[in-house]
Amino acid sequence: MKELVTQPRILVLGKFEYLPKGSEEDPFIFTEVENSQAALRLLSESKTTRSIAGLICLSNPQVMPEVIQLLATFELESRSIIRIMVVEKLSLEVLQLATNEAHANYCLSTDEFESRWREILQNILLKFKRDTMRAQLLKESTQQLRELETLNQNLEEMVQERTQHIEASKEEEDEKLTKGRNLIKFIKELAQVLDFETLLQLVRKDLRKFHRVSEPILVYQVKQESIQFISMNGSQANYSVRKDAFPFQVSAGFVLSEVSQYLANHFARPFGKIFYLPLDLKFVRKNSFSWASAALLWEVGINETEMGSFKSFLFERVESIAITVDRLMLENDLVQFSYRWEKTFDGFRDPIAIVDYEYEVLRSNKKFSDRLDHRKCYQKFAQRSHPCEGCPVPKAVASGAPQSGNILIGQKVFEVHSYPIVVENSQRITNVVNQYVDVTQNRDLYLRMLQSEKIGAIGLLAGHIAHELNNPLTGIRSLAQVLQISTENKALKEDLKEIEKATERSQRIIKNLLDFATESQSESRPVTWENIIEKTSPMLKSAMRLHRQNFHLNSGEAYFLAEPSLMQQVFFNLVNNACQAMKSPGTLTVESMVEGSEIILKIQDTGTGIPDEIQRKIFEPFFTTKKEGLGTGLGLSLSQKIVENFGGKVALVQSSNQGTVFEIRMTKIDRSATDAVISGKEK
Amino acid sequence: MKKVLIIDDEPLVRRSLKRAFESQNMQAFEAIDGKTGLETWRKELPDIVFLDVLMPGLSGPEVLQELPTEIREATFIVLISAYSGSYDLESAKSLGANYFFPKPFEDIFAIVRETLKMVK
Repeated sequence: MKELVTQPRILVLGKFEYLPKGSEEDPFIFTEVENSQAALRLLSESKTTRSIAGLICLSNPQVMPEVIQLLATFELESRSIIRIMVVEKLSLEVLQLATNEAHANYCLSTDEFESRWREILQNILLKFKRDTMRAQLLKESTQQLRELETLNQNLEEMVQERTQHIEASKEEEDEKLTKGRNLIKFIKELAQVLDFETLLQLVRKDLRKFHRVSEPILVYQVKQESIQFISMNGSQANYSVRKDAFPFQVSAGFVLSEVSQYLANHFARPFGKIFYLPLDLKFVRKNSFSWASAALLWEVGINETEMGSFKSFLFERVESIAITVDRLMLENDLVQFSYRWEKTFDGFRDPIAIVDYEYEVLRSNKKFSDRLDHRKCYQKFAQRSHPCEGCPVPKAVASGAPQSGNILIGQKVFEVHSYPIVVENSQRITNVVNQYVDVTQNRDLYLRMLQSEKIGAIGLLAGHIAHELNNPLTGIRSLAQVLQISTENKALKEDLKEIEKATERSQRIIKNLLDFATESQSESRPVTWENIIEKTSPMLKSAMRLHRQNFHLNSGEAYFLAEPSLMQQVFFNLVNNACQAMKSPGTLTVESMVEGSEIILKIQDTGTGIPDEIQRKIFEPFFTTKKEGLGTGLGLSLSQKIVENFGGKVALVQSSNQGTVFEIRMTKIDRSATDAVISGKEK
Repeated sequence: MKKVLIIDDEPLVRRSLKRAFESQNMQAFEAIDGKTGLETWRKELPDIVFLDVLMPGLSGPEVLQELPTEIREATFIVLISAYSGSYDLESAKSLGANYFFPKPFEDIFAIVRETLKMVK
């Protein structure tokens, strides 16, 4: 703006008396120039200041071309300068020249200029001021624009810088995040590691970004046992053991040549620089209450700069690795321990199972079941849908004390010992250990012993009774015979004959009793039901006397192999049972028939039948529904045993409130092959 | 007249045998046990002796042991027993008897007949 104060310069070529001569009050400074060269010099000098506002040239015909040239040059150099051409005499020719050649703004005659110069200069001043102002404004705005541009540029630089910074920190963050993620992934993978081999593979994989680091070697020692080494050979783990003490260290880092030497001795190859990473086995130490050491070793050939990140990489992981090694060692211990127990139990002769209070099998040995599915013990072991009768588990759970009981599975009798498992801090017993001792044989032996002892006793008794009775019976019979021939009285003779018959019958009963009771050592021989029934019936007379008897014996001459006295026992037992089953007088039906190769004997009563729930138990030894003293519970079980011994079957074939049918099936034998034997024996 | 001695603790056996033999015209003596049987045997020197095995006091075999050999050999001795399982003809013969009948008898006359046949 100060520039505006500067007075504009008017260059004047030629003499103009009336123009003011350099007063400070004037709006212009009039500079007289001698010639066009001077004018041009001033023009070039003022180029920067732009102080020249106008050019007034007085022209006469001599200087006309020079003036025209000057004006044209000015027009070319600075169009903003107002150019005035003053001539002595204005003519069309001059005017044309001024306009076309000189490009003058004004072309006036001297007179006209003299009269109009104030007005013209005023216009020039106004224009100059306007121009200057504009120029100033332009200059200022340009200046501002420049400043703005600079500012803008600075801002851009700043933004760029910031962006770069942000990007850098983002990368840093990303890197941290990736690192963290990798660490978490590593730890997650560690958690799934089940053996040392996988652990070492995982560590190796995790460290693969560090070149010149060897495969890891795990070394550990528990208690005072040997030093264990696990190294990787390709994808395979090598387990090796060494007796002499390993120089375990407390801190991580490169270790003394001592360790390298040790490894060289053990692995039989030279070892370079060893990086040692101790693993603190807290749980193993705590658990086995003893000393335990472990470390990971690497043969490392990396430089100092990489070493830093290698170390920090390891230190981030050492704790997780240590926990994993700790866990694996505990698991190994546990597995071994559990394995030993398992083998111990599998070695037992008896089935053993751990069962909970709901009979669910938690664990069992091989003898118990090979099947691993968790099921109820009665399903798994006894193949039934309800708890076994006599099972001691509920009692053991309730009382918390060992209990025993006998259960029957198929033909086997098991003595079950239930031992409650008392867990510390637990009031309630939920689990028991069951031991199943197969006492079938003992039981059978006992039953047989009991039976043979009984039979022996009965036999002895029967022998005595038979002797005692045989003597008088012999006498009675003989005397009756003697008397018969010594009398002529017919009626008396008949009476005596009856006496004789009675004694004969008595003698036969005694003989059968002796046969029945004495466990004769005779072998099986061909027998018929008719024969057996005939011999046994006299002994059943008292049992059968209340009931109607239907005997339909259609097996006639069909023979089967058996020991007669034992088959008599069977028949006796079944008929006796049938008779006892009929509380009020009923009908006993005994039928025999031949069906193919089988001889069937059916014994039917009209009693009240056998309730469903006890049908399956009737062949169990010592099972009886009879009052004490009336039955031993041995009859049917013994009969079954006898029949089965001779290759037959005895079964309950029908039971309802209308009565019960038992059936004995024996295999028919070829008569002709046995004829000789029979005739020989019967003689 | 032939003599028969019946040594048995069962009165009915003794009586029926005595009757049966008497009906065959023989003289029959009875003894209720081994001791009296031995006495009667020595006194009467019977041709035939029916001797029960099991008796209170002296048993049949013991009676045979007590008896002087010459008397024993001069007599036809029939051992009788209700314990048929324990004795048979063979064991009876080894004890010094001539024959054996198990009790109970089926037909007393058959026994008498058979005995007399053997004695003749």
